[in-house]
Amino acid sequence: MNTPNNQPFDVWADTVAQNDAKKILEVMDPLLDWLAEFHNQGKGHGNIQPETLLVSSHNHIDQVYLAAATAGIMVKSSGYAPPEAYEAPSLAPSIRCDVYSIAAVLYRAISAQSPVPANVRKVRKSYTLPMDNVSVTIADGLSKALDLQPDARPANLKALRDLLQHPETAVPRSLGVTREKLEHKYKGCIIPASHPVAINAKPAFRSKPGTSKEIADSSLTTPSGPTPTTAKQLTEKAVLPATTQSPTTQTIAQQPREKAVSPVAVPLPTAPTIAKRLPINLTVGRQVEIPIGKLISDSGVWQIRFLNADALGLPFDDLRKALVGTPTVSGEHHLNIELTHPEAQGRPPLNQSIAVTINPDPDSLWKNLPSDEKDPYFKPDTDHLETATPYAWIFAASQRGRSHAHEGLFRDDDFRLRFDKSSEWHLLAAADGAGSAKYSRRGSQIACEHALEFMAQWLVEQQTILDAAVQAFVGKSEDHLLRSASYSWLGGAAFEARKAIQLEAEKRDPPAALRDYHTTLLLAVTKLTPAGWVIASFSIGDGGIALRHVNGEPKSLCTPDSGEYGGQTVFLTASNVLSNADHIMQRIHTAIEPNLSALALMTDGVTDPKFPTEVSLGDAAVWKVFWDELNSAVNFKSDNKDISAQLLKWLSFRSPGNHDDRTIVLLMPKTGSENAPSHLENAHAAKG
Amino acid sequence: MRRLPVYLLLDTSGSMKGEPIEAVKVGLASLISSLRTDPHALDTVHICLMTFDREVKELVPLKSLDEFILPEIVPPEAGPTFTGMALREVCAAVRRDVIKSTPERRGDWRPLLFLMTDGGASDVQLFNEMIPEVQRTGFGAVVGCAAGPKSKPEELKKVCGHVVALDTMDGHSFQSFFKWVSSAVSGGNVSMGAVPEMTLPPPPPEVNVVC
Repeated sequence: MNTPNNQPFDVWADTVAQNDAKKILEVMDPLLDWLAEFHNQGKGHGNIQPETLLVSSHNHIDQVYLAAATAGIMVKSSGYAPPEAYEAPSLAPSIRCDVYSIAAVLYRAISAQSPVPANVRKVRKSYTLPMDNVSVTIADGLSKALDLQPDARPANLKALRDLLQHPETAVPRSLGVTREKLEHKYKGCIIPASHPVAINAKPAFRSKPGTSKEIADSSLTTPSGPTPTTAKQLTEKAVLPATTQSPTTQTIAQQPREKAVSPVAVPLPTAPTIAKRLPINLTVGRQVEIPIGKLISDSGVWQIRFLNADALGLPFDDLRKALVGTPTVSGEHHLNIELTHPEAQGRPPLNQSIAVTINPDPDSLWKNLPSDEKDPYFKPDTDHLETATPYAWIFAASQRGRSHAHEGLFRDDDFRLRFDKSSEWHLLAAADGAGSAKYSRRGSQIACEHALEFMAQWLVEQQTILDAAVQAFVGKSEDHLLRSASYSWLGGAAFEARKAIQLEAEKRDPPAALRDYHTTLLLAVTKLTPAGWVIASFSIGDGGIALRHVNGEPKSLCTPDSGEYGGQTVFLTASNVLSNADHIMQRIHTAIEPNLSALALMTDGVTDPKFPTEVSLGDAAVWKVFWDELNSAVNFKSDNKDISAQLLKWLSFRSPGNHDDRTIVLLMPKTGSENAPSHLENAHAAKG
Repeated sequence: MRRLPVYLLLDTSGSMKGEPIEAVKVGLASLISSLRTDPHALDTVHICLMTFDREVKELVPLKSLDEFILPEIVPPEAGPTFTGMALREVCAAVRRDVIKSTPERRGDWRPLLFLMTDGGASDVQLFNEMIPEVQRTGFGAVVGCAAGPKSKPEELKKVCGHVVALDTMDGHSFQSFFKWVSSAVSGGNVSMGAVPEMTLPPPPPEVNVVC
């Protein structure tokens, strides 16, 4: 990583490595790995120069910085850019361009001399680089890599590595060769006798992990002890005495060594650390503020240009030093930034990109596909109904859930209402077909219809029993008679409903299974007596039945069947659900309420988001929130003709993760009630 | 909010090194981005990414889909495949993370487990001990993916209700597998609950159903 001690490669080579070829090659080694990987894309980097190769105090080349430096565009860095860079103005850098640049950087680092710019070399065709104090192996390799003809250079970094690694390919050729041949071979490189050259028997670059430290290859690190004979011979033969230098090479050889002088004298300021990815994912439409200090170290010093932040909806707020905005485009993006240091004007800016994931706004993804009207079990996607009895108003609404609308599936919920005029009982039913059962929309419909039909019929036959039970309940607060009556009344309705579904399943060709019609069932019956509203309820499955006292106190009238995990419930259509009398009895609840504000039946599409736990259905605080929301969405108080329509509209409320079908049935008493939708006064509606 | 916890348990033993793991990474990335186009999944799906080789790593603890960031996955050079240990850890993670319903608390959806491996378990005894443990954990579905010729679908059948096999371990196969996982998870959102085991969508041709 970047530390204040990072320095350009040439400065580091002169000061820290002291032009020690071994050390320089060691440090360069991982960078070549990285660059080779970059080359796998089939293109060159084009901006390899000491300024882009920053060496840390731990002697690591900062690859992040190099990655961030302008890449893919040929940068005409004087001395390091290959001759091709000067030929075409917008040349795409090739791998051989980088081979030249790497060789130039190595040349600069090992020889401590600035490489003569390629354009200058090109003009003087025979112009070669002086390589005194550079070992034969390296001199040979670098000379090839610095060839003015791209095709004459090693084709890739591996080839360059091989050249520098395997002296035997270079050395034997130099044994016994004529001075002219050598001169031609090294293109004038001068290796003074005062710098004995060791044969590099071991590779300069790591070939196996852990051996790099043992590598000895440098004229500067040659041990002072006796040089191996062959090496000595080679040294003598490889060195061209100064007196024999050709005029061209002489000129250069006589140039003073430019120790520690790099093409740009001022070292580049330490590159900032830049996050590779935003630490959090964003979401379209959700406002966000990202302080840039969290993305870029030293962000106060560098001039940062955000190239595409506006397009993503995250403009940079200079005052707050943050990206502030509401993301507009979902997907995997890159936030492109350009950094310039005030003290490094004229250097290529640092380019970096920060990966950012922007989630789509879930609401924008919902589709609303119509369900298939031609289906034999077709059911409208919504339903709503309001009705009045002499004692109460009943409002009901049912809405297909977003998850069903998204796939063009049917509404699986259903409801039915009935007022039995002779007995004055209000009969209410709601049901929720299981999303996973293919005919559940029909199951819920049959359940409601047949349960109500049975309950109405039962009243005709058993009214005397019921009246006595109500009498006992009202007078002595004894509910066992009412419970027992409800057992045969409501429990019987459930059984009848199940039987009807069974028949329907068998009627299909080929016959369907009962589980294909899986549905829950919520039943409530209520009647106004002088002592108040007598209520009995029965439920199988999730969802809820509850009453609300005018003072706001609720009472739950059900025991929801829910398992350990969400969605685990029982169905009217499940096996054995109606086979145990005790279990059926446990499903029955009774109440008497003189000051009833409302009796509500809700499928789990409503209870899941509004009454998330079993106990919350009886919790006054939860009810208050619910009631306030309901009353702000639905105008129950005025002469409103659209109460159930408003109720239906309210059912589309947004709640993350809750997109099931929603059904609510509300009974509100006329007496003692603040509600008075007068248009329903004379209406007696029924649906069954 | 009721979450749909999805546990991804991936074999990262030495044999996965190279092209297979790169293919898996691409597959995972497409799984995530594909799920992100499903509004219901965006609301409910939570993903836990665990890898196993000679050790088990919970690379990403259970995290909502919108917050999920795919981590770097680096298989070791070589070593055993501790599938049994992985199953033990994933069951422990489910016990720790997944909320069960109580009268006062609303539970998550039943968790889903997807187990991908390219070989047999090195810790056979622990693996066998984990079979009842996995069943007790109450997954909505346990789907095993036997990848490549060295995988052992028969072994996976002992713990997985569904086993699919990939003939090859190339990018195409994994892409198909993860695409299928994506549709299974999306489907899981709607169908969970009513039936004891969720129904999986029909797999693409590259994914062979073993059971």
